[in-house]
Amino acid sequence: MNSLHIIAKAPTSASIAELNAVIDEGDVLIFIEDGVYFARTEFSPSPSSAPRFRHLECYFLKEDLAARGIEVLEGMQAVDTRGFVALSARLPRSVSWY
Amino acid sequence: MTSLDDTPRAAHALRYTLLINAAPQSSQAAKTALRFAESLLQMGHHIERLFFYGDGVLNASRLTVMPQDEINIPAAWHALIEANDLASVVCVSSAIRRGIVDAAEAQRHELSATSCYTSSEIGGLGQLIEAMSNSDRMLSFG
Amino acid sequence: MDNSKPNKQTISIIARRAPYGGDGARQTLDIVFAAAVFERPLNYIFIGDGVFQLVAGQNPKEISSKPHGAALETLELYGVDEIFVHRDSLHSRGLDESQLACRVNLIEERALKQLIAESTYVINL
Repeated sequence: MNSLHIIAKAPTSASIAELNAVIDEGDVLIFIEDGVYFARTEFSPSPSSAPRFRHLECYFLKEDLAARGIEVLEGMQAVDTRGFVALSARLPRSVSWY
Repeated sequence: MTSLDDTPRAAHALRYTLLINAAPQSSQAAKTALRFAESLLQMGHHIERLFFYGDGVLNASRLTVMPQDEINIPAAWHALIEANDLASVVCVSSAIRRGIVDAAEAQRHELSATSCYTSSEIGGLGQLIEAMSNSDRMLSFG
Repeated sequence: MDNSKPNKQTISIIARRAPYGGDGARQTLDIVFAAAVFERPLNYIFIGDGVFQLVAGQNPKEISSKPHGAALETLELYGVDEIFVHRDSLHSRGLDESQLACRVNLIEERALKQLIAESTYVINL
């Protein structure tokens, strides 16, 4: 059964190796707080940073995107806190990364 | 952009334990947890227990004073807990070393003041384990 | 209650922080002890810098801290024997099993993902 991963750290502060070790195919990711800066590395095309999680179902917390002036880019899915709750209800367990 | 805003209410309500692991002043996490808890209740789910752990115990400090234009997170938790009659536990070992004490702890340690909102109870980690066992979901914020 | 929940609840507790510099390692261990006292089935999983918690020969007396490795050695007395270490995390930090303070199960990434997928709750502080 798949998990919801709640990622609250920016790409440079998160341990990509740890995320890769635990996140499984079919898992769902929600980026919150500074985690929404993953929008840049995952959805903004740049030759220097290949997306790592884009192939998974990814969501970004709308309030945190807005707070940081990050626009919703092509292919990105944004949810508000109620959507976050709905995701947590949909998946049988969550794993927080902070 | 898609949104789950209009997702219908969950077919059945779920019971949640929320673990709050960060101080209200040093990261955004406590605010995220508070908004999550409010939305959870609005959507018809239940909170089995709030558990404040580590620096998170500072969310129960009734001695927190914030500038007028900033949200007082401990006061907001207190209001939410009271309004919804929530079970809220502050981890004792985290709390006493951070100066969060209720009347019983103040007496036990011969302290002259209390600092914990009465809406939260000071208790042990067993209450986290027990709450989880009675919950469908456990989410942590830090 | 949610039907998707297995009857036998398993808590997976992930340790991914080095000891002493922060409080996370200790907080995680305290939850493990509490779960053990309540006889909950648990997996204690070390990944990333968390593997540094396991290194034998820790002596934090001069920095006024309690020895973390010594506390881990007592886990067996509490009936905690499901201790897993992500092999790559250990090896990529120049460590091997012989340098650890307690007996562990080395696991690959596939088995790690499987442990998580079979858990009722995951605590990752």
